[in-house]
Amino acid sequence: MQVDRGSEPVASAQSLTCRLGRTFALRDVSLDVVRCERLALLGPNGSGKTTLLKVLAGLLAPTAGKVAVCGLDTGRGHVAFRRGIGYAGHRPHHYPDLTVRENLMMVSRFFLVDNYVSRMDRLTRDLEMESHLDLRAGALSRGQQQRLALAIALLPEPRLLLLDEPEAALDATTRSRLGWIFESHARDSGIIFATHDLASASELAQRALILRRGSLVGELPLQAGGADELRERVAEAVRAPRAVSPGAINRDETQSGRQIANAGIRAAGRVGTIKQMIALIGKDVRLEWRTREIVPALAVLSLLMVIAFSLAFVAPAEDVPAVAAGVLWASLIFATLVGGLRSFSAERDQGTIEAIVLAPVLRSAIYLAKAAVNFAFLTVVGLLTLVSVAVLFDVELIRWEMIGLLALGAAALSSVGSLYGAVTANVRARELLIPVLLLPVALPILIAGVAATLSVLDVTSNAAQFPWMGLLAGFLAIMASLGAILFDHVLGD
Amino acid sequence: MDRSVEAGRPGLLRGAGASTLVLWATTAIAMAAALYMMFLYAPTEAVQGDLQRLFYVHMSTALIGYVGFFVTFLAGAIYLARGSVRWDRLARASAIIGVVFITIVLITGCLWGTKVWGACWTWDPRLTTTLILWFIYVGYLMLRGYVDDPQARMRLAAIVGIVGFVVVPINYMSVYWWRSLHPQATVLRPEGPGLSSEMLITLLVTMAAFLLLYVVLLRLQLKLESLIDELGELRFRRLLQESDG
Repeated sequence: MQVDRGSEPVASAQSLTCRLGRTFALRDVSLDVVRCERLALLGPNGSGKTTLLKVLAGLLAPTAGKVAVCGLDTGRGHVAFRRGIGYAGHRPHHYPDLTVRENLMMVSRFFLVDNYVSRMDRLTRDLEMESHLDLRAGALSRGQQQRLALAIALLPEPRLLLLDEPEAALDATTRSRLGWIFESHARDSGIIFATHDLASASELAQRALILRRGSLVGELPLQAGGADELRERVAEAVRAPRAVSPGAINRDETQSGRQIANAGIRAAGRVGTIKQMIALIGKDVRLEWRTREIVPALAVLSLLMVIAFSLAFVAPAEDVPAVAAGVLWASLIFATLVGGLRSFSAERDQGTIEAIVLAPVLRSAIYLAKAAVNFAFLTVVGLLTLVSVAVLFDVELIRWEMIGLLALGAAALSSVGSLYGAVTANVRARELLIPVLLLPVALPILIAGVAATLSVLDVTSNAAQFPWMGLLAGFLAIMASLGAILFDHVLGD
Repeated sequence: MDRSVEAGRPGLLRGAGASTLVLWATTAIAMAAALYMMFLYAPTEAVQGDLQRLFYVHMSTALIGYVGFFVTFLAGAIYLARGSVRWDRLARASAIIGVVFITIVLITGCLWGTKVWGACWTWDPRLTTTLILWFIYVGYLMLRGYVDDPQARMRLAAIVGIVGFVVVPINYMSVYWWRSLHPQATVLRPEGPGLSSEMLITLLVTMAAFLLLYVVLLRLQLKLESLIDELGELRFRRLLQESDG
């Protein structure tokens, strides 16, 4: 493939510095990659290769410097550039409980790929995964999972393909076909890959950048079969007493700082965003249907809470409806604490949150989709709790007004539960912290829910005079708006 | 500044500029004036007697607590918009002071309530909301200790600070409507028949003194936080030099 170094770069990074805690993962790194160019990142462990790929993918914000992909800014608040990026990192981005086909379809919906059926057929055929299409991704071997990761990265036909050790865990045959796979599926893309395999680097790439302790220390043209020479050059660059300033690398050749035009990549429109939200909701519902992890556990927890409360409070007969109302809403709050935490912590634990963050989906849309799923789960749990409270306390709770009230309360609880679930998903001892943070904020829902229930039961006639449903609706509106506005900051970079 | 004069100062004032010294002096005078007015100038309340003098401290600390949390909310929002560490420091420093002052409010309220109402606590809407607010910002400070990555810590804390403050009015309204209706609840308020002019002046002076105290404490906390950051930066640079060397 002929590379026109004079053409517009698909990715341009200028003076990137990235500090992670007490180390500089990157120091003043600049690079450009043009269409059809294959660039290898070389260097010892901890030299900054993975960090550089993450910064280019928009997964990590640089401490200083700028990145543009296809002429689009990759800073916070920007998602359009993500449509131009395919990324396969160290952690798998697929859902282990979905099949290979479902994972690929989900990605195609996130990226709004038009011809996804034919793309999926070609990719799975070329990566020899046709027979695995209906297998659970979690059941695949490490090598097969790596092929799936490559398929996910290649599926949206990215302008910029970022791969972290793409040859890792692949068998010798598939490794030898990597160049052909790139040629078939990412012919016009700029490709940057990190590797320790110098033979792969010299076979696949036209150019190599060598990193040491976060700094660029060398740049080499590559040619097939030049692995031995490359090994010597890399060792020489890495042994050098001081890092070469990136300024020493030929800037004319790397074209840093050149203005690049938007290569026709646009953000998803309103319809596209709705499709993406439906895909997110569908994914969570499908996962729950398959694993039955959240709803049954929350339903049992709520029932246990009802039993615990009913044993804890000895109420005179006339106070039973009031106690029942309190038990119902307190149980729902506990279910929210557990469910809200689970919705994001599962994504964090599996590493799939990166898949969502990498997709060109508005962060507010991610929040609203998660809140919608939590609402559906909580409504089911709430209805089961309602029935159990009605039966165990012998109170006439099963009424249409109560179902409407419960749905509104579940929506309000989901709006705040989803936000705080995401806030605490990545913190230490999150299961201890979420009740501390969420309970004081969720108290208006408890108060309004209990008061409105008493009003429905006609226990306190005065309660009917106040707009408890309005309070719930107002809380929902405020929390959902805050969540949608702030969620970009919750997920971070 | 004469170095011999500098060296003779107490630790907190060492290195302080003229504006700081003026602020400290003004605060000290204001606090002294407030104490004088609370105990000697303000008349003794007819029903509660001298115990009512607690009201001036109680009200003023409550005001500072709310101001502290409002500043945390505002600084958190600005931090998210601009990303400058300064705003995060301000948000955290103000939250610490807010929590300390609201703790004083809750303690003085309990002492006062025990004597006047015969109970340390009642589920009065204002009391309940204040307690909820205290929990929200204790959670805010706790969260900061549970996040290792500094950037994530600042971002998440700002979000909790913003959401926490925004729900305060909703909390207040819901508790107010709820507790006002609840048949068992006895709504007790520490409101007398109205304040005399001496009492009102004393209250205003005490509030002004406590506001000045808030500014002094905020500046001290900010200085402490910037010194901690500076120390971390120096350690980081030394590690960097060692690894480069």
